Amino acid sequence: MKQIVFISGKGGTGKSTVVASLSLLVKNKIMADCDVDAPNLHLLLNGKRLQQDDYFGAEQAVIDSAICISCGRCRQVCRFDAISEDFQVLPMKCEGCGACVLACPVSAISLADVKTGETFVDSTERGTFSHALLDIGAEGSGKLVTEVKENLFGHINGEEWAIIDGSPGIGCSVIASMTGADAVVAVCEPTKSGQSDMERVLGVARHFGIPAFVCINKYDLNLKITAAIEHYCEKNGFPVIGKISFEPEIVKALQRLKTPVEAQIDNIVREIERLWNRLKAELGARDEFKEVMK
Amino acid sequence: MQGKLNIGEPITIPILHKLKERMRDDVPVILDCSPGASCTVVQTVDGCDYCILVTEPTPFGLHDLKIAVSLVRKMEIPFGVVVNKAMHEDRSIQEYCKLEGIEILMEIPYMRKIAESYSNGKLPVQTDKDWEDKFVQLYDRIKGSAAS
Repeated sequence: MKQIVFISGKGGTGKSTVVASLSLLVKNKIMADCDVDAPNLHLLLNGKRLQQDDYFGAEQAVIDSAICISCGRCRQVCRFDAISEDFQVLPMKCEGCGACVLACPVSAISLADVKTGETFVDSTERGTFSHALLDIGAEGSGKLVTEVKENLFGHINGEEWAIIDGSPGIGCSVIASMTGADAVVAVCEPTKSGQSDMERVLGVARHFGIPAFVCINKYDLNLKITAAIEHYCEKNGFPVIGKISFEPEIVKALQRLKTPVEAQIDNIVREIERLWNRLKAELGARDEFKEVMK
Repeated sequence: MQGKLNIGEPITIPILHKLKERMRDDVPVILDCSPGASCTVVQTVDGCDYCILVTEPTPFGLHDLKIAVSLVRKMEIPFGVVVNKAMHEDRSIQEYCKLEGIEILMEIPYMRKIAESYSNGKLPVQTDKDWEDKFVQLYDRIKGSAAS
C-alpha cells in the first residue's frame, strides 16, 4: 500500500477539496483526516462508525498544595507560563513537559494523564475513514495525528492506497502527518505568501527525506507567480504534478457539500484526474528506478 | 515582528513567547494567528483584548468557525466575525451568528479581482478607497469593543 499525504503551508489552499475529489475518483483506498484541530472531511464522508475512543494524548502537571512550599522554582522553569502566581496549573497552557516536576525541591508536583480528544474510524461508501477531534484548546495535536494514522492502518484490508489529508503549517502535527508517507503533495496558491508557505512545507518534506510533489491551485489567478513556483520546483526537484484553475463553481458546490466530481465541474475533475495519474506515474518510475539500482 | 520555526522543528510555543515578550504596550498590536484550535492558537490569543475570527461561507468554514467561537468564549475574549468570500448563495455564517448573538464586523465578497490583486501582494485597502474606509470603520468598531 502507498501512503499519500496532502499538505499545505497554510489553510485554505484547496487541499481538502482535492482530497475530497480523490475520495470519489480513486478506488481501493483508505482515508484519514489529520487536520485534527479543524477536521472537515467527515462532513462529506458520512458512514457507519466502527470505532470511537477517548484519546488521552497528554500529561499535565498536578501540584499538591498540601506539600507545596510556594518557592516559585516551578514558575521559573516553566517555558509555557502554565503556573499561576498562586501555584495553580493552567490546563490550557500546560504542555506536560515535566520540567516543574524535576525542579520542585519538595516533590509536590506530578504528571497526570488528560483526555485531549476523541478518535473515530468510520466505514464509508468511499472506503474506511479515520479521523479525530482535538478538544478545544488542547495540546498534543501531533500525537493525536499519529493516533489517527495508527487507527487507519489497523483497518487495512488489502487496499492499494492510503489518502491522507494532512494538517496545515510546518509544526508538530504536519510532521506527524508526513511520517512514513510514500509521497507528499503540497497544494499551494500562486500568491506571494502562498509561495513562501509552500517552500517551507517542501523543506520539511525534504528534511525527512519524503518525495514531494506540488499542485498549484487557482494557478490562473497569477500566471507570473505560477511560473515562479514552477521554476522553483524544477530547480529543487519537486515535480509540479497538477495545476487547477480558479473556478467559482467549486465554492458553490462545496456550499452544498458536493465535491467538484459530484457537481460535474468537468474541467476541474479532469485536472484532478490528471494530477492523480501523474502522481501514479512518478511513483511507478521511482519504484522502477529502485529495482534497477538493486 | 515575526517568528520563524526552523524546518523540521516541532515545537512552536517558545517562539510565540519570545515574540510576545517583545510586544510594546503603548501602541496597538495586531497578531496574525495560526489556524486551528490547539496550543499555538491558545498561546497567541491569550491576553488579547479582542479577536477577529475570519471565516468563509461553506459548511467547512462554518464548522471551523464554531470551534474557534468555543475557544474564544472559553478564554473569555471579546470577538467578532469577518466573512471572507461572502456570497449571496450561502448565508449560513450570517444565520449562525444571528442565532448566537455574534457581531459580523465585515463581509468581503468573493471576487476574482480581489483574489488576483492579493496574489500580487496588493490588498484591497491599497487599491480601493471604499475598502480603506471599510477597514478604518472596522478598526474603530473593534477599538470600542476591546476597550469596554
